[in-house]
Order: sequence, then structure tokens, then C-alpha cells
Amino acid sequence: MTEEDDTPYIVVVNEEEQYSIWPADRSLPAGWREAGKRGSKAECLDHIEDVWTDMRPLSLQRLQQK
Amino acid sequence: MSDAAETAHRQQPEAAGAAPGAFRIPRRARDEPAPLSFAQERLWFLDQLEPGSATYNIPLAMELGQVDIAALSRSLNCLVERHEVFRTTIAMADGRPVQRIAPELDLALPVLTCDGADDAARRQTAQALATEEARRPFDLAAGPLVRARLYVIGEGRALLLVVIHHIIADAWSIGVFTRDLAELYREQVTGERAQLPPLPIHYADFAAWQRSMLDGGPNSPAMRYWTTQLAGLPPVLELPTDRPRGASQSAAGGVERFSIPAALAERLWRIAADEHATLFMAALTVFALQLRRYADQTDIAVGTPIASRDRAEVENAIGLFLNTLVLRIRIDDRTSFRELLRQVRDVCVGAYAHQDVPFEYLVEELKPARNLGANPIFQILFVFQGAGAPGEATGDASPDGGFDIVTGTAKFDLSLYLADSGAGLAGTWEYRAALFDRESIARMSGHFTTLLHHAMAAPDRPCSELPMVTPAESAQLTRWNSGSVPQDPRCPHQLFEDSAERMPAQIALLLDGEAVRYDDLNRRANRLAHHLRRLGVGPEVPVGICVERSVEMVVGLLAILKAGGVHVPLDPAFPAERLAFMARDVGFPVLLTQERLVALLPEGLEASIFRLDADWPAVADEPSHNPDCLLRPDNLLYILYTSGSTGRPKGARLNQATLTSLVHWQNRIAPTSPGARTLQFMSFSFDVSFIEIFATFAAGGTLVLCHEDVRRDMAALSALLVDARIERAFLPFTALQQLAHHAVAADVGGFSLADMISTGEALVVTEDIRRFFGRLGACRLHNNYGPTETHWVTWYSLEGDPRGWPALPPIGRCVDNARVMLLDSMLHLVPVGVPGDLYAGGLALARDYLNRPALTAERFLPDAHSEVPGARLYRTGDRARLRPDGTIEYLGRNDDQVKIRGFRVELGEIEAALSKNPDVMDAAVVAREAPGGDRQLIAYVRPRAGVSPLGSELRAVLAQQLPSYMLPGQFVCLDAFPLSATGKVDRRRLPDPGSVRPELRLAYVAPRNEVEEALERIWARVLGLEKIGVEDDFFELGGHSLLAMQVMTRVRDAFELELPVRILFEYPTIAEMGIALVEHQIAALSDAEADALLAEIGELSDEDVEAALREAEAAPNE
Repeated sequence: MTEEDDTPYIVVVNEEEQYSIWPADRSLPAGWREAGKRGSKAECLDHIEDVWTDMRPLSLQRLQQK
Repeated sequence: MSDAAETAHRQQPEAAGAAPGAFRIPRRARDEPAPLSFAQERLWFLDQLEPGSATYNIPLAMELGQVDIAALSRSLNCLVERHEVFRTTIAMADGRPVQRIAPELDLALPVLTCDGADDAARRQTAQALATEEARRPFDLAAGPLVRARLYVIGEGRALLLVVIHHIIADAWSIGVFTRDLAELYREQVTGERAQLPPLPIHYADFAAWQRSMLDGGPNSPAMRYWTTQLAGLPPVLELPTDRPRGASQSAAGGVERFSIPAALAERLWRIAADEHATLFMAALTVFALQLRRYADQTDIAVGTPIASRDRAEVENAIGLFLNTLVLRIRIDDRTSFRELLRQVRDVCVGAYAHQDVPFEYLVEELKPARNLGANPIFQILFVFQGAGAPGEATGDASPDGGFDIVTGTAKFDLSLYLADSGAGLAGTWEYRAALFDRESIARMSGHFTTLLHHAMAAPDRPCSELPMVTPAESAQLTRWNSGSVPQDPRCPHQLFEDSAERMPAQIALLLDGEAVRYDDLNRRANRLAHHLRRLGVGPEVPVGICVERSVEMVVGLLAILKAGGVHVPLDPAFPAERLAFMARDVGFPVLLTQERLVALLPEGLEASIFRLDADWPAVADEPSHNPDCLLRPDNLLYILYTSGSTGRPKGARLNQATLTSLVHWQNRIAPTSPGARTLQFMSFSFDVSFIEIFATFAAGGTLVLCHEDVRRDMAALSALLVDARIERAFLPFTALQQLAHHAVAADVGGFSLADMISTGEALVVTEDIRRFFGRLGACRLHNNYGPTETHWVTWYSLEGDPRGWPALPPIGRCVDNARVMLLDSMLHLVPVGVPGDLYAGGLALARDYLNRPALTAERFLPDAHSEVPGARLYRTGDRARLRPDGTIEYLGRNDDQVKIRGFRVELGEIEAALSKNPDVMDAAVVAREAPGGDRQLIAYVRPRAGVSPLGSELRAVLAQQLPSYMLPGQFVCLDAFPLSATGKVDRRRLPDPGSVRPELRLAYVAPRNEVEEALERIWARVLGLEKIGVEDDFFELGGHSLLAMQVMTRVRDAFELELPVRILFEYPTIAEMGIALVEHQIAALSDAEADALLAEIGELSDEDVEAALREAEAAPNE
């Protein structure tokens, strides 16, 4: 993944609600699902900046809610 | 498959269209001098460059039954009479090489009887003798350029060896030779007239015609095609090599074979047929994908030989008609294999249609950036030998199976020969042994086959999805990359509490003679921890701490962790702005500090401030027992800020479990015992300080603190190490080097060190370090690696005699529970030996960057190779590669890679080469924009005390190790390097060279003495220029190899010196060559004559003379 690439990406998220990006034409790695955004790297990262508001892993969020 | 494959392969000439053969090649006038063809000229030049090489010998071995030796000898001489080329030698006329054709030549056929007890032994003798003969060089000027030997193996069995120099023959010629010889032998034996086709022209006619055809120069349509086709091609395909490319190429080569099963070859042929392509094109597509992965380069050029025998008049001639076509393939990883194959087909068809332009002429016209270490335009050859079709081979392998005579040389970095074996494809790699090990080449076979296999299974999926490593390799890479051991669920501070419980009276801290016991330290920390709890500190709650090195610092750290909070160090040495940013970013409710630092704190802090010294009475009544631990292993431990490329610092947040695991690992690798001393050197805002502290506390050891002034004063630091009997220390490389230098120079003894851990910077085992460890006795040197985002992930230990330690040790293997992956730009595993991006993960991985979701997502990627679903990997930005034993070799930062004249350069490599120089303590190399827009390399050098090396000297030494494009244009000597807060060299603060030595800037410099004047006259005449600066590069002025020959011929005459041509490649400026010339002159003279000469060249500056003398002394064997 070079900085200047124009590869289309998708936003992905794992079971701990941690976000990342992944090349759109590649099969998804185990434990990750699509999070409903596809676009350039910058677009995907912008989307993540907006939606990933609580960065605590999900298991920790649940524990702290108890 | 054979028939179809052959048919497909033979589409090549048809694809070439009607261009060749449209007009006839005339016979040249016999009284004119016969020029060399372009291909001959290149071979002649290479021979001048490396005389006595067998690289271009073509051996031809024929096993014979009953033979009439006299008839064989006569028929060989008939052959010599029939083909002019066998009577040809290369002579000089008016400074240019020409073909001289003798009217007659007597070719001897020495007969050798092979000794041996039995047939097998005699065959072996024949093989050995023939191989030796095949490797004997030719003299192009003296000739003859063909030799024959007959080895008698037994009754009715013999081996005929004919060795021909490539300058008069090609692979097609071998077929012609064999046919003609058989026919002439039949004539000699039977008396029947040989049936041979007429020869309308000879090779010299072809060479003259080729010259006249290209009189149109670069404006001919064929040339325009190539100019467009090759514009902007990277100068070198940078295949990863086992050894660095030297300043010049050695031709020693090796051969490695593999085979592709028939079923797989059949599928390749089918897909080729589907796309109206040849098997050659389809196999080339696979090869191009492999090269793309190996070199991490998407713009690939390979060469392929083409017979150029489609004109009827040359069909039956012997000679070097062979041409080389450049096939440039640009790969978009998103395209499918099928689509890429179509593109490769179009590239090939275009190249065939313009095959009349000799490759050598292309090189002359295109003037690619070049250096002696690499072939121009392409470095990789791809050859497809279709079934039964002569013409594409270059003739190393013998035509029959019994004898395999190889010359043991390689013409290119790497060549791949594929041939239809009838049962699939037979592959042969020919490689330059100076660059590659046999094992690496053997792995290439597996990678080619694996890529082919996957491409055939999914020809319509993007190429980026096709794996290259074999399943067995993949399993091994994963094994190497995992260091899984059972995890301790405790938090780091609990390891301390455990020691305090078990050995309360042991000394935990030492500072300035003040000793703090474990129980005392624990009670103090507990009191503060209870207080912090009352202030609301608990899991996930950050607590800032801004203190100087002191006992309070350790008390504060322990208290924060005991309370369950997240440790956030704020270095009081940081600028207030940066501290203010961190405070805002974290938003901690509590800040621990010291009375004298309160004034430095940024204004407007909303935290409640606790002064560890002045406010202590407030906690004196708090309980002293351990507070309950509220933490889980995945709660946060600390937030550490590192500089971001955008200038905004980023806070990496790590978990408790990471440190616990590392502490146990560290104490296993470099153990310490109760009471044994460990130095606390690292800054508290640097992650290694946590290891210093907790690895010591976990073992009940004593941590020796030191003040800032001791850290920076090597005399004081080494005194502390000796006096405090410190056994374990963690130092960044720069500090370690300074310490070693001091200890060696000042002859400091009495150290107790058993383990030294170098970290934070790439370790170089310098001469100082070698000598320092030589005195330390059994002290081990560990090279620990890891970014802030993971803490350490790999390590390597050096033990035993330091004289045997490598200058650039690897970073080794995975630490416990960490994970390290080397991936290519498509996130595939890279195989052993191939550089990749280093990704780190496992338990070591940070949770994220505080408040930076996008940056976290960009740097923490899904781990597609993990068995743990949802796992992530941190992209470190470092480049590394695996050695065959599974240890990792650090190559440098991704951003240290710069392009110089189109070549990719790792600055670390130049720095390492410079550091080997005994005059150099250490070096930093940066690339700066030069006034013309080009990037220029600038070397900053810290010389050893008492020496002041000249830039020209440093450059001359470097030139022996590195290709010319890696040689810095400027050298700047500094007494000290600017250092960053963490003790690393701060590259941005290195002074601008313009302000240090402006006289070194590249500009027109007129000749300064007679030698330079003479050289300028010669260069100007050969290059057709009026004025040449003595710092100008010959090749940048348009010089090429033939012109280099002309320069050297004139230089030899003018200076009456016997000089190799390569001198111009090694010293491509007038200034450098002038010094080299003086050096050669001095070397050739007696002492008295040398003095006289020195007086004569008095116009040289003192510096130059001194430098020349020193160089002459340093290189007496030149």
C-alpha cells in the first residue's frame, strides 16, 4: 500500500469494532466485515474519522458499562 | 503440446510483418575496411574492459562414433575456407576496431587420448578437459576465433569440442556449423561432392549494410518507435540480491534447473492460444509478474534474443546476427493475468516489427543512465527455446545430452531459459554468482511455478491476488513469525509488588549514593496510589507526569499504575507548546510534577496538580498497603507520543499485557539477579525506559539512576558504569558508539557489564564497538528492534569474539508473543531474501493512536495471514528481509529510499559503507534538492579525532564498494551531529552544505594543471564539445562505452601508460581521473623519478598531491 496509490478501498471493521481499510478487489481477511464505505483511500479514512468515535475495543466498552 | 506450442511460438516471425527482407543486403566492396557490426563492437568493447574472460565463449560438444581423424581435420578446414568469419580477427584502424579477414587459415585439430580405468572414468576426463578448454579465453586481435579439440575416449568413441567466440557466431550458427560440417565430412570420406547452399553474402557484408542502414540516425522510423517505447524506463530492475552490487560486474555464473509439469504447461499454452499469443508471451507474462514482486517495481524491462535470420541471404551464414529485443512491461496489479497477457502480446509484436535496430545502437542513442555494475536498459534475459527451432538459444548447453559443457559465466544478472521438453517445460536459470546464492535461485523456481499455478487457476482475478510463495514456505514463514508462550495475567506493577514482598530489604533504586529499599519504595508508591484513587484515577484514566530524573519519578510511575491509571510522561525538556498540545490531546485529570517544574508547565491546564516533593505531606497519612488491582491485561498502560510526519505528535496507547510479556522475555534473554545493577539511561518518554525499570524490579535487581549531565558525558557515564558495577545497560546506538569510543580512547577498564542492549537505532558494529567489547570480556551485545507502536518485536544477540561480529547485525527473530510479517505492497508474504515492508503485531501491538481514528486505521491493518480472526498488524514503515535461517535483516526506513538519477538508493547502505572507513566515526547521508532540480546526496561525516579526511578520499574509498549513483556529491565533516531528544541523529538539523563548504558545489571548474588540461583536450575532441569542467561526469556529457575506448586510447598515447578502460568508469570526471593518472605514473616510477615527476606537476595543489600520494600508497597493486 503505497501512499500515492489510487486503489479503491473499503472500510472494514472487526469484532472489537476497530476500523481499518482494505483493497476493494481483494477478499476480506477472516474476522473482518465491510462497514459500508467504498472509495479512495482518503475517502475511506475520512469516513472512519467520522464514524469511529469510541475507540475502546468493544469488549472493554461492555465491561465498563457494567 | 509440442506441435501446437511450436506453431504458436513460430508466430513470431509472422507477427513481425513484412519489414525485414523487403530489400537485399549488398556485398560490400572488397577493398573497403570492414566495420564491426554493432553487436560485435559491444563484445569487442567488453573484451577490452575485461580481457581474458571466457564469458562469450560458445562451446560446442559433439559425441562421435568411429571417426576418420584426418578427414575430420580436412573438413573443419573446408569449413574455415567456406565461412569468412572463421578467418576473421579484430584489428584497429584509425582508433576504431575493424574486421580483418585473412585469405587463408589453418585450423589445427589436436587429438588427446583420455586416461581412465573404464569408460566412465575416460568420459569424465574428457568432460573435465573439454570444460577447461571451453573456459580458455580468446585473443580477439591475434585469433583464430575458433578452436577444435578431439578427445579420444575409447575404441570408436570420441568427443569433438569446438569453441567459437561469440563475436563471430550465434546459436543459429551452431546449427549451420553442424550441418555444414557433417556434409563436408561426408565429402571427405566418400568423395561425393558436398551439397551445400550457396552463400550470397558473408558476415562482413551484413555488418557494413547494418551500418549504412542506420545512417539516418535517430530519425529512422524504427528508432522513433524505440525512443517512444522506452521513454522513462527505470535504469535498473532492482532484484534483491544476496550480495550488494559492486562497482563492477564479475562474470562468474551459476546454473540452476527446474521443470514445469506437462499439465500446467498445457494450461498455459491454452490460455495463450485463447488470447492469440504464443507460449513465449504467456511464460513471459508469468516471469514479469515474478520480477514485479521481487523488485517491487511495476515497470519492468527484460531482454530476449532474436535470431534475425528471416532474410534469405543470411540464412546459411555463420556470424553474430543475433539481436536482443527489449520488452518493456508495465504492470497494473489490478489487471487480470489474461489482460496482462494481452498487453505482453502487443509489446512483443511491436518489438518484432522493429527488430532491425541493433540493441547496441539503441544503447548508444538512448544514452540510459548507466554504471559499470549493471547492464544498460535491461539486466534480465528471458529466452524461450521452442521445440526443434534453432535460433533462440545462446548456446551454452550442448546439443546432445551426454556432455554438458558450461563456461561458468553469466552474461546478465539473471537469465531464464525455458524450453519445451516434450513433458512440460524445462527451465534453466543462469545467474551472476557475485550477486546470488544458488539457494535463492532455487527458490525462484518454486515462485515461478507457484505464480503460474495460481494464475492458471484464476486468470481473470486481479494479479495482486496471486500468491508467489509456496505452501511449504508460507508455513515456515508463519512458524518463524510467531513467538507464542503462555501469558502471565499480572500487570507490570504487580511484578514489582511481588519482589517487594519477597525481598523487602533489597535495594531497588540507587541515585547519587542514596539507596531506596524495595519495601520503602513500595510504601511510598502505595500512599500516593491511594491518594490518586481518591482523585478519581482508575483503569483507562490518564495521569500526566512531568518530572526530572529522580526517585520521585519512579514513585510517581508506580503510583499511577497501582492506582490503575494510564501513565502519560511529559518530558520537561520539551517545548511548552508541545507539552500544551499533549495535555489538551490527552485531557488528564491529574498531573504529577515537581516544585521546580511548575513554572514550566503550559498555562490553562485543567488538571489538578500534585507536586511529588512539596505536596508529599498530603499523602503521608495514606495507607501503605498495596491497593487492589483493578486492571485487566488489556487495559492501557501508557500513552507515548512520537513525532508525526505531518508535524502533529501522535500518542500511541499500549496495553498492560504487552509490557508484562516483554519483561519476562527480557529477563530470560538477558537475565539479572536480586541486587544486580541495571542502568536507567533511557528518557522516560521512550518506551525502553519501562523495560529498564520493570525488568529490573521483576527480578529484584537494583536500578541505577543518573542525572542528565551524566547521560551526556561519556567520561562520567563510563565512570558510573564502572563504579556502580552495572551489569546490564540499554543504550541507543549513537550513545553506545560514543561510550565505546571514549572507553577505548581513554583506556577505561574495570567494567562489570554482562549484557548491553542496543536499541532505538540501527546497530552498526563499528571498530570502536568491537574493541570495547573485546575489553569487556564476556559481555553480550543485543540488537533489539521495535517501534513505539509495538515496543520490541525482534532481537538478535551477539556473543563470543567481537572480531567475528558482522558490521550490520540482523534484527533477528520474534520476541515472545510478538508477530512480525514481511509483506509486499499487495500485502502478500515475501519469500526469503526479498525485501518487504515490516509489519508488527501480536500481543506487542498498541491499541491505537489517541484521538486519531483515521491515522489508526491507516497504520493498523487487517492481518490477512493470522489465524486469529480480526487481528491487526502495524505498518512500521521499515524495510527488511528474511535470511535463509529465519533471522530478519533490517534494511532501513521506507522514506530513506530516495531516487538518484532514477536509481533507488537506501541511504542506510551508504552510511554503513562510509562507517567502515577507519577515518570515520559515523556518518549520516541525506538527499537534498540540488539547484537544477536533481536530488543530490550529501554525506555528513564525523571523523575520528586527529584526522580530517578529504571528500575526494572518502569518495575514492566508497567508489570501491558502491555503484557511482550511490556516491555522495558532497562531503561535510562535522565535529558532532545534532541529536534529537531521544538521542538519535536529527537529520533535519544537519547544516546546509552550502553554508559549510560552498566551494564544493558542482559548477564549471576549469582545468587546474597540465594533467587536467591534457585530459580536457582529449575529452573535448572525443565528445565534440568545446569546454568541459573537471568535475563534469563523462557519461552525463553523452559519453558511452565506445567513446570511452577512444578516450582511453588517446590517454594511453598521451601519458605513455598502460591503463585499463575501466578506469574511466571508476573515475568519470577529469579531476578524479587526473589523480588516478598521477597515481599510476608514480606507481610505475622509481623513487627518484617520482620526485622529479612531482616537481614537474607542481601546479597541482598541495592537497591534490597529498591525496594522490596517499591513494597511491593505499593501492599499490592497482
